[in-house]
Amino acid sequence: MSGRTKLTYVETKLFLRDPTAVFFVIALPIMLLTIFHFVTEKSQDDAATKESMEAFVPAMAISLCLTMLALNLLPTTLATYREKGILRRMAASPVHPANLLLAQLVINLATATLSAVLVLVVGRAAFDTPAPESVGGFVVSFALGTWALFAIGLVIAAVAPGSKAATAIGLSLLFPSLFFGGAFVPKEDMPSTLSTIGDYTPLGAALQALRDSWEGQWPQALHLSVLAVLAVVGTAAAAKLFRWE
Amino acid sequence: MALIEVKNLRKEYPQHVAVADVSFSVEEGEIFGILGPNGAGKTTAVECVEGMRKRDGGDISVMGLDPLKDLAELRQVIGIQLQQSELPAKMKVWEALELYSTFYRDPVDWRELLHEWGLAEKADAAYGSLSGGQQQRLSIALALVGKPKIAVFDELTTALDPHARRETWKLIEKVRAQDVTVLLVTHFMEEAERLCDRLALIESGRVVALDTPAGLISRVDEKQIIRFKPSVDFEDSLLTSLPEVDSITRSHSQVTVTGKGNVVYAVISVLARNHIVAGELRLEQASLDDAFVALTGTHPAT
Repeated sequence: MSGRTKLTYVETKLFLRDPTAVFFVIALPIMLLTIFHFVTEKSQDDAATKESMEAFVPAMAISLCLTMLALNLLPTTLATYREKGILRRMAASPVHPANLLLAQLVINLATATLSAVLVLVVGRAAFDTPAPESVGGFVVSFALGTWALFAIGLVIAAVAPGSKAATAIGLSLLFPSLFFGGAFVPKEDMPSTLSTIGDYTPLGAALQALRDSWEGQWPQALHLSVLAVLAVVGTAAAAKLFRWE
Repeated sequence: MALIEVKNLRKEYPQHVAVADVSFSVEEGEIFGILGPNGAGKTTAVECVEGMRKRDGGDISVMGLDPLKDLAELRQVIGIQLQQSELPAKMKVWEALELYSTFYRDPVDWRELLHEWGLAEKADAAYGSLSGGQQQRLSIALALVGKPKIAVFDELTTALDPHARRETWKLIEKVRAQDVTVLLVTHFMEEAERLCDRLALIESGRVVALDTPAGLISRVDEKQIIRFKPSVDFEDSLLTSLPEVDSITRSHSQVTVTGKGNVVYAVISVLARNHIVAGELRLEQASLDDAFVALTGTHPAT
């Protein structure tokens, strides 16, 4: 195996040794699907509300997973790698530490994709959750949402002085994201000011874009543009600000 | 030709000059020490040689390679152990060695390194569960996995207890025995005296002395001090008449004699001829510590 392939392989093993990572990616989305399934099944809501919930729950589970990975796990890991001198150790070898960052990105992106697939497959098999009606819209929303959230995660990893700071910044972004982004309460049930703010947050834009494609509409230009701008600006900022030691 | 050649190296930071003017050369097969007080610029100078930092002035040649231009090639021939660098806590010992061995063109068999550095029993242990000494041995083994011609050890023993430090010294001698030239950064006099063939003493970013440990010691005062408690009293003139003796002082029952050259032999002979036994005999000679103090004006770490 070449150095880079081996590196990605070893980093994957390390990732899987961390139970929190596995929990957020596999257990949490399925738990969410299960809980919401039993809640909605028993509710007295009309058919239209139930239908809207059927699109909301899997989209929310997917975007929650993405946000956890991008804003918490990835920046904390990378900041730890810098803080402990792991990036520097690698810089002393023939393999540039950028390869370590790349390996981490690949693993986290693969994990995000895996959790999305799990939500789709488990939802379909166990709870009869419908698949997204606009497959193209879903793929575009998922890809742009992932890129935007990971770009922000990389900015956190770039500016955080240490792993504790990275965790703190990640969490302080996570909760407002969940609140404004309409993960706790669906957007349509929120006051209009809050839901407008939510349109401009990465999680809110990604969640709405995913919900729209689930219901068979092409995602709104507003949400896709918000995600695209965050993705491009975040990536550029992270590349500019990242320190190896 | 020297294996490492450093000429007028300079490295500046926005607020201060870390390395003002450092020149030295290291011959093949040597253990070469970079010695100096904390903050003298030792690590910065060595990091410029390794290519971990970019120099601002001067020339560096490592086996004919320039760290600024030939970094990729340099990485293949130099093994680096860094100050304060760890591995992921959950990475196992064998995984680290196997992984790093894939980074090099012509690595040694990492399984042999496991045995050679006493890590075989810990092969399956996570890095985070290792003791300080075990982490240190892994760090040396990782520096050697690429079959380097040069190994750089930076403050290798600083965090270790005296016993582990002595064990590490044996390991460094073992590295040299494998035909690896060693560049050793340290602020421990005892370590430098014990291990290094030659030393560059660095102070405030400049080389203040470059010599063998014995050569450095001989530069300071050659005064020797002898202390003892005589079995019977004697006249001062018995010793002051000796040409090697400079002075004699007494406090309570203890006699302190200072002198030069063969003063120890001269004093002991005279005492023996007069049937005087020198009890609790102590001899103080200049050490590398004294050389360090004399040449840098600061006290070394203990």
